[in-house]
Amino acid sequence: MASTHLELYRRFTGKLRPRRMAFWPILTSGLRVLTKRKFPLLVLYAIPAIATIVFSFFVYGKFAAEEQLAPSLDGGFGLTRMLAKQAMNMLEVKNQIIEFNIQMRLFALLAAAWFGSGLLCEDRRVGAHQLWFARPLTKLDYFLGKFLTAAFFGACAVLVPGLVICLVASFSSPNWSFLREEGDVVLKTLAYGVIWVTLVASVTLCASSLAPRRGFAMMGTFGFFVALDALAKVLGSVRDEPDLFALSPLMAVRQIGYVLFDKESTWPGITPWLAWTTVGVVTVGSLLVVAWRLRRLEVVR
Amino acid sequence: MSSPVITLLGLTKHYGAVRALSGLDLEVRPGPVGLLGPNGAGKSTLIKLLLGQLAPTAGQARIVGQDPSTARGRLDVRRNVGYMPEGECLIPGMNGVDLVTTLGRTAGMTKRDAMTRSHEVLDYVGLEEQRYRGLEEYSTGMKQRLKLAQALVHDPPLLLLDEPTNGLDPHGRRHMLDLVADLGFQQGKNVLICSHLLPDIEATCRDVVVIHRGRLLKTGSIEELTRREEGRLVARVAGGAQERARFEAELAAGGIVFENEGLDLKIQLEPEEGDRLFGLARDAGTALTLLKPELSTLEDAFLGALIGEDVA
Repeated sequence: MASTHLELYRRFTGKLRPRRMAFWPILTSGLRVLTKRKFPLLVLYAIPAIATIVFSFFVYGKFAAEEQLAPSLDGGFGLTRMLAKQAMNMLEVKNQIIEFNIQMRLFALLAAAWFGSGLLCEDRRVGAHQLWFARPLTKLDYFLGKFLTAAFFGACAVLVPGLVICLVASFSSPNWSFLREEGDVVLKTLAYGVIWVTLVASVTLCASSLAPRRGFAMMGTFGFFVALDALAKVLGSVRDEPDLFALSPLMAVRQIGYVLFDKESTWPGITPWLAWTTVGVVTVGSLLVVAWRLRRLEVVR
Repeated sequence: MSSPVITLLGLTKHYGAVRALSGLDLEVRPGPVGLLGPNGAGKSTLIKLLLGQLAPTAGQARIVGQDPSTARGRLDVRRNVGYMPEGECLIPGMNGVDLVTTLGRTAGMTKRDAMTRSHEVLDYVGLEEQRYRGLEEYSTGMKQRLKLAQALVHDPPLLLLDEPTNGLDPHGRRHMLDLVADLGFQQGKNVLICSHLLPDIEATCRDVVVIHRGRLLKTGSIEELTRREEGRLVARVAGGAQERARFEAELAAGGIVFENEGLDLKIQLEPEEGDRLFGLARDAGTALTLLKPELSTLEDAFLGALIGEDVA
């Protein structure tokens, strides 16, 4: 038999180093693959992007108007009025940021579920886990790579817009007054975003680890949140027990948002520790399922 | 003799009531080795056990000096082994360079090294033109070569290739076999090729391990395995049909069993008795233009082992 032409095989002369962040290539390759789909990116992030721009202009406008008002006021009465106006503006801006953060959670859910649903089940379906687990990767590396990929897309819908508005508020407030007086809003925005994104990414990965295909995983993720929300609303309304609303992670996280930002919750009045319990149980439960499924994915016993 | 690359001690794997491997004891020498067996023999199970992707029911495996059943050993094994899976395993949405680079980075290469190396191995396997194409557009042959490229990217000393010629057309198969033979014979890689296709093993390996129903049937060099089965001589007589007929009459008179096969005669004689044939040819008034021992093929050895096993 005639032999075919072969290129020269070259030896690798570099060094293989055990990676501290071995999850990084999984994360970056996941992001690269998923961001190739431009249409879902456009659809899922258009509203958060528009909302961010509108809220940013609103916040900027509040502070700009306040600065223009300041020179026209003089004397004790004028100064008091200006300070009062500034305080009102500050409160208004803070409230806007809080409401913005809380409303954006639905978009984070949509984005994380859309982009994250295929992360584990598609690897399993096409057999790509055989390639990953033929490399010196631990289950934790693999999990972190996938989890952070899902979390990234959630964060782009809730955390990034929230922080952008805080940034606009910081820069447009006179003498950095927003940072000096309401600086904790930035940290609380960060904390709220992390809590919600962690919860959403955990549930998404849990569904992905159990479902055979991406579509089923997505339905599972949305179904989980919608079903619990409906159940909580029915039970809470029928039994007239506001704490039953805590069964819904969506409402529990909203309550946590209000608690975090020290804002009065209007409806429903869920006891904060119940809201925290719901979020904790759902997150930990989802992560345990993922850990169990990954154990089987890496080594079949 | 160099130390074995793979050592199995009573390696057993059961899937419920199904016994995929039963107490396999084996030492695999360095170099290109074929893992041969019919479908369902336990070849892929053995490869997955070696990689630590399956946990053994009993027994132990050591590969490149590490035990893949422990977490630390598993990582060390995977650092030193390149694995080419049998079925589909490529990540959709990526192109060839992306895939090989990413997997190179997970093996511990820097981004720059992984990128350079990925281009080198894609050139080597003949995917230089298709490297930026999406994997969805790859043909089966290109996918197989890409799977080989990703196994080679970190230049591991040991390659585990699971059915590398699966689904390939004759040209693609030839190319793949040339690549594997080059890696095993010219580049000094230790290669364990798992296949049920005997010609593939014959073309690419020096040693062979035959397993069937999870048990070891035969092991040794291909040369030894085929030599053991010899017991016939191939002879060709000078002249025409009359000389040949006289020679056949001499053979029959001497009680020697033979059969015609084209121009040749296949004579049932041990090689050391071959000298007798020259005398018989002289008596028949002719001469022998060819006399050589008939070597059995690997297929004969393989089928012989399987038949022996089935009878047992």
